[in-house]
Amino acid sequence: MAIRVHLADDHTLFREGLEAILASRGEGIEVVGQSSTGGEDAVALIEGNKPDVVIAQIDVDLNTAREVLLRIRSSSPDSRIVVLTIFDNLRYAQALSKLGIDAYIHKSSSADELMATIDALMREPDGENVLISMPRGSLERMGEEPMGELSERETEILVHVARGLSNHQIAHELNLAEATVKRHLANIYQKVGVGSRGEATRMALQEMWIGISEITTADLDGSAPLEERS
Amino acid sequence: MRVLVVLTPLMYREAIAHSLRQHRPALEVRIAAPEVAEEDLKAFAPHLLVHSDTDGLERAALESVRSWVEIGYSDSMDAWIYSEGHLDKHEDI
Repeated sequence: MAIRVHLADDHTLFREGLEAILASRGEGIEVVGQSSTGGEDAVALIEGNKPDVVIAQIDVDLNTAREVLLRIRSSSPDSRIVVLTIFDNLRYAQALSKLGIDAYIHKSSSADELMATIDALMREPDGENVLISMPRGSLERMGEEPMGELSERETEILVHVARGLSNHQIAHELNLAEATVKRHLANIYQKVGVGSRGEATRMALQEMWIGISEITTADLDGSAPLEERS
Repeated sequence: MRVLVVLTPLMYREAIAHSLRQHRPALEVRIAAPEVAEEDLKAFAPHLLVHSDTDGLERAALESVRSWVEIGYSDSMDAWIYSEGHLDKHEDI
């Protein structure tokens, strides 16, 4: 019996190409639906078809990813979810794993690897493991860089976030435009796989990228934590 | 007609090449990683090059092919299509 697959990807050109590859497997895989990633069309089709596997492109911030995956999961609770992503970030993978995905496939993987993943998931219908395909270099680099791959500027901004400063206040403090602070924050969220200031702070403290002393004591240049300034 | 697909990442490259082969069986379609694209441009001499806007191909390499499609990876997939001296932008291809 063919494995019934739904393809959810915002890029029509890629989606159609991937469908052609999956369909070339003959009777092994049947693409029963195609849609954008998390729109109403996706929900309706997935709910109606109850596919064995949903292949979902997730190249978005964690909050949006959470919404999309919850929507897919509630549309068809028994479908296995394979995430296709451009993010080669283990923290992002870890966060998506907590949302109940079954496979995390970086787009540098081949179509054959994607098909092998689908086969593996179907062979183990009750399997608990998450299958991950990531570039070797990304895995090897994990943990080597100080501060978990955050740049010095990003770490500096994270310390200010942890102190409770607003974007406006951070921009003033670091002599940056507020839009630049927002951009750095978006990068931080993506790199560490979180979706909010609170989560970023918690992660940074938990992983010891920043210390309590950095948050509670004055900077080397003499500026003090927010509560002491206001 | 020869087509060289140099898109990144690999899964995009394979998907687009497969789709081209399926819809236009008469085309000779090859894929190449961006790192070796310039060698393949010389050896394969494609009539059409399909590549990404971030693959680092030199302008001189683009000038060596008659036509090219440059796909931008963003929320939508917009493309610049160059052919016969004309350059046009197509949104969400």
